[in-house]
Amino acid sequence: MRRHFMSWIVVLLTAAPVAAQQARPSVLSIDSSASVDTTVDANGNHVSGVFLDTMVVGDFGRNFQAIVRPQVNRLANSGEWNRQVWIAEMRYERQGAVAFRVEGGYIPSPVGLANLAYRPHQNPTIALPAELFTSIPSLELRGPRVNLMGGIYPLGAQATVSARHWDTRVAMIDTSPLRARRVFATPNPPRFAGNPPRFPNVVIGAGITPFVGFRVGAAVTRGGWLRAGESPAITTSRDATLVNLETELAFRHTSLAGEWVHDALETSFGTRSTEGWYVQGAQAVAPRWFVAGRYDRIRTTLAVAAATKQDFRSTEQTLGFRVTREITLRLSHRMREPFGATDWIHTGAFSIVWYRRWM
Amino acid sequence: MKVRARNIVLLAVAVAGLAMTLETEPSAQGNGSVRGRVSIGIPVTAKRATSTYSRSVQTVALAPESEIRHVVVYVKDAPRTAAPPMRAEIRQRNENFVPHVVAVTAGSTVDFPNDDPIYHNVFSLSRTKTFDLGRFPQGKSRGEVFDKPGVVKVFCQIHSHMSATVMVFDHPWFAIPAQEGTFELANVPPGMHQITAFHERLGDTTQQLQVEPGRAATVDFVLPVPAQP
Repeated sequence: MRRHFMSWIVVLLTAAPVAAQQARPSVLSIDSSASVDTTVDANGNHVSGVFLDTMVVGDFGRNFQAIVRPQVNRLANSGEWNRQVWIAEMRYERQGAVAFRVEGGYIPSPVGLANLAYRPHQNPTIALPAELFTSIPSLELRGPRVNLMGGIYPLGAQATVSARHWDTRVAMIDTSPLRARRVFATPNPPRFAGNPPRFPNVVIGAGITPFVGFRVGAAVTRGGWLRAGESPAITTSRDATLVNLETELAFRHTSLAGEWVHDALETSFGTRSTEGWYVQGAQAVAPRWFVAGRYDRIRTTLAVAAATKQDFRSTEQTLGFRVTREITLRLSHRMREPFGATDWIHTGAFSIVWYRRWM
Repeated sequence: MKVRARNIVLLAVAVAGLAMTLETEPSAQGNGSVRGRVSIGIPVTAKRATSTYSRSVQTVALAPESEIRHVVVYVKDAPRTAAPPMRAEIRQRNENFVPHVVAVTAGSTVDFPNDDPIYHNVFSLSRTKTFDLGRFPQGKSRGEVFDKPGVVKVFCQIHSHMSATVMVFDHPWFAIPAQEGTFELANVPPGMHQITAFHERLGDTTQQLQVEPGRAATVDFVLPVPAQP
């Protein structure tokens, strides 16, 4: 009896507690993505681009997180190397049936669907949606050129509330979504908050998810896009209103997405409007193979003649092969018709995309 | 007279039963078993969910399972032996594959029901098994047959922190330890064997063990290094 008792004592003392055998969620979450792409035009001219970024999420407990996303890229057209910090923020999240998040710092864009696919492994094609990087002909005399909606990581704050079938958010940012501001860029568009007094851009957005895989969202952004004194010809600060509708539908091996954007800019000639949209789709045809495509269109006006319209159109068709979970090869054909052009420009592109979740 | 006849019948039935037992399970009579306990000697971390680019706030995280249940103990040098196919299940719950690890015989089916109110995608590009079940919503389930032995890493294309492992064997001598770490491999052929404890991040830990007929051999593992005698 005594021997059995001692045995039990020994077992109890040496047994590892179950809790000690459980994995602890890592304090850091780190992932990286990279892409190398080469684009060739009909004349055999080719340009190459390189992109590398890392996302680091540090958990501080009590629902607080710090997120930083540095990136380095080599611009395909100029060959210039560019380094940036695209996210550097603190975040508080409270989970639940109605969940809440508030974040501040250099935050992910609170507006736009295309901005959410701004990493190579999330983009089904090689080129990004045209709205992010295609400059619109100037709408202000001697004023800067803008994008329909730039890929922005503004300094600001955002609050998000979401539940199973809906999400809503409000944000205040110092950057106009029409003019991407970069932490390390020179020159840079001005901040639209601070002195002289000018309201920052305010974003209000919401979405509904009627059923799993289908979401429709909308956002309105209002705030400064042009600041007095940016150039000698610009004597008055101007505001812009940006409205966007976005939708995503996914089922089985198919995913579809689309976005419509309308910009109304105050200029010295009155209000000038520009709008555009894109639709994209991706279809897995086998575990390793997928096809994807996108059609973009941007329509704008001339600064001095509002009735005159100019169009930009582009389309891309991509064939993808997933070598491993981390490496994807893409081959694509792209056609684009720039503003003021009447002919399509054909290019072919090849890219290698790598993504790794480290921890 | 009746009693004698009844006894003869009972005796005949008993002899026949014994003969049938000897005929259908000859190997089990000469086999041994392997018992032991697995424990993990170092802290293990799990990938956490992130939702940096999501318009929605992430859902509640599931408490991680015991890492002991992510270990598969098996006879590494076992001869290829026919074993009946099984039916296993890996649920997608709170952005986790639950359980994280399953072990099955070749030809078995693993079902992947989705318990979450969001889409998941189940796919693998492993050499042993390449498949893509696509997206499917809450309440739906899709299954996949694993017909070749090996390790199959399963992922969700939508959530990068989600992963699972399916270990497929061409013999029946494998086990996932109980919550407290104990395991038993029954009917192991006698002889010197390599017993391996597999954990996807701690790697393979292998020990030599002599299995004797009709006896239980004991081997303990403290991952990632073998237990010292």
